[in-house]
Amino acid sequence: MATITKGIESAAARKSRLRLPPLVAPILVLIALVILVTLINPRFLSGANIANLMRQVSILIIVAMGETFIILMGSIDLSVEGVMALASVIIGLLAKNYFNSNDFGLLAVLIAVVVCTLIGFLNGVAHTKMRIPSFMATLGMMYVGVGLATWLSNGMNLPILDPMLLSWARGNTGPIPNLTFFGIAIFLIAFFIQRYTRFGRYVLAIGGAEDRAKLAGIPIDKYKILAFTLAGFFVGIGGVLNSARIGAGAANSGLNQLFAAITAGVGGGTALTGGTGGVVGTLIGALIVTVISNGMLLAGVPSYVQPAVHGVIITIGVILTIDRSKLPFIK
Amino acid sequence: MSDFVLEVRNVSKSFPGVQALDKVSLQVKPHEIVGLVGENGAGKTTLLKILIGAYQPDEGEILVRGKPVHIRSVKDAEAHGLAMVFQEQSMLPNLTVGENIFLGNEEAFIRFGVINWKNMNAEARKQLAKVDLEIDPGTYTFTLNFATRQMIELARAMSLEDRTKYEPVIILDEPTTVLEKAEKELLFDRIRSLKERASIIFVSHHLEEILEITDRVYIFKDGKNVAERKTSETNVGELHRLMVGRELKGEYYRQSKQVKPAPEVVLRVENLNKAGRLSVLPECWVRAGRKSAGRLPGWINPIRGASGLMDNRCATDRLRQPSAPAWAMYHRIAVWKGWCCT
Repeated sequence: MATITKGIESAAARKSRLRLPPLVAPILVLIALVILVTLINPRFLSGANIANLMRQVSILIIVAMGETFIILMGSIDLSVEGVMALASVIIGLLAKNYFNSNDFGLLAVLIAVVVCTLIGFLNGVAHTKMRIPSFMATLGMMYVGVGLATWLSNGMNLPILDPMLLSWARGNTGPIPNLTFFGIAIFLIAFFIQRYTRFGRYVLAIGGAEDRAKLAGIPIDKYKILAFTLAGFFVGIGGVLNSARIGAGAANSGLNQLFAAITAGVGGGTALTGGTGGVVGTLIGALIVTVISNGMLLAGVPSYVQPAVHGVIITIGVILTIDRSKLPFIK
Repeated sequence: MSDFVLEVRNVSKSFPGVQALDKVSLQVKPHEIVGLVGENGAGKTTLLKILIGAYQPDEGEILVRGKPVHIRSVKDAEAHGLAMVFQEQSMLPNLTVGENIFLGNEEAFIRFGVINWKNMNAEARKQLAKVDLEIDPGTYTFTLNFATRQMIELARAMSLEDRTKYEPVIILDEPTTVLEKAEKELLFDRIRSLKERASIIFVSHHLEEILEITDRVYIFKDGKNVAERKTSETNVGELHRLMVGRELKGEYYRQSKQVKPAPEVVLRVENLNKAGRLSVLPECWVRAGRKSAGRLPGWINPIRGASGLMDNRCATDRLRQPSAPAWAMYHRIAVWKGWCCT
């Protein structure tokens, strides 16, 4: 199909042909990691560990899908942990629990996700209408979320008893953990949104060059707010499932999830400058992050060292995804 | 029906301290290429921005096909069949050619919220055929060179023809600035063939180009529309006189008023090279007291780089002031040595 002749190629194209196509590098890294971890500890490939791995990665995928759209747009959403904390505590209070006599079941899930979606919407409004950089608006929202969640839960763990929620997060269908289906479903939805909806394409356009997108008549603010709202929705679902997996609603249940989500996105090839990358990369990135954490555990690396390793990955990811020579200066 | 597809009547626009446009009028007939010339600051760009809705005029009116219109955004302009090909280009590099052609106007390809890529690309192919460009609409725009992207912008402008059922008015803002000679010829070729189904406003300060391609030309000076000429009845000398308000007597750059270059060379560049950015610059020099006239010579940017004022990583083989070698200059050293860059 490609009818490109030599004469119409840009210098950027000639340069990019020398590099690996996108996704190849993350996939190679993933394969190398799997081999490495298996060599260190063959138990990595045992059924129990794989199932554990799938539970872990599924929640990360759900949370990271929301973050990916935001990063693609050239913004950042730092509110992840606050949103997850709220989702968790709402579930702990409204679903069947040890603490009170509430038993709203599915309605509790719905309320938690709606509240999270609303927070995402507020992030978007604060960023666009009040013109606060997304970094600051969402950082503030993270603390609002954690604060509210701590207040609502009195700082306590709220053990969840709801059988439906527990079977979602801990049950299996055949050999496959139920959480995997949630992860796959959310990934497919995100993929569809990115590839086949106007919203998905506009997010890329805004991330590519906001001023030009505006010139083409795209209502920037509307789509930015939509993206933050969608992120809130995804993170809310992730928060609900995460607390069900832990088995309790708690204000600190989102701990380390923000960093993992950003690492998954960037490690999967989504540039922090926006415009390039996508949800497929994030899927691979999430697998990389999870295999590394799991591998470190299996290799006996002390858990205190693990954050340091994540820090190194995200830095390497940034080096590989952004062509820094094109940036006029580094902020 | 009016005789004109586009008519600008007594449009004025002022910015704090500047009267950018002063009662400017202009008409464009169907299938006409209208030239717009003027020095920098003559008001050309302001008028174009008014035509695509980026600015609102203070007074005066704009008529499209005989009807007065208010253009408040690019979308409004496009709805009236007015499109602009920007000098600095408006393509999004990370989207495909097809997406760029229909960016902001995807409605026709969306069913129940789902984009039908096959339809969009087929339609894009049709638009590309109008400018004789045979590329896959699924190609990412960043892989294409400037001239090709410009053709795609032209195709995007021509897509208005199908969307609005009008023959479009296409504004080309200094389209030839960075084109090579062959590319320019190709562009002119396309413009001439598009003339059969569109009107074109061609903005340039290359008078030869204006004479080559346009049917009629408006001359702007200091925000006023000072004259209008049929292209066949004018020449470079007259256009230039109207444009700058004085005679062109074989002295385009007022050479006689220039300071005579002093004999000593203040900057000499030999074998300047930066991998991937510059090809080797064999040798050039600047003498003291020489004013750079008109357009900057093409090697000014490499020199800026070499002198450290733009990019201190430029590798110079030998860059030196005759009195003292100044190789490997960094910003700070460059400024200290009396260089400056504006």
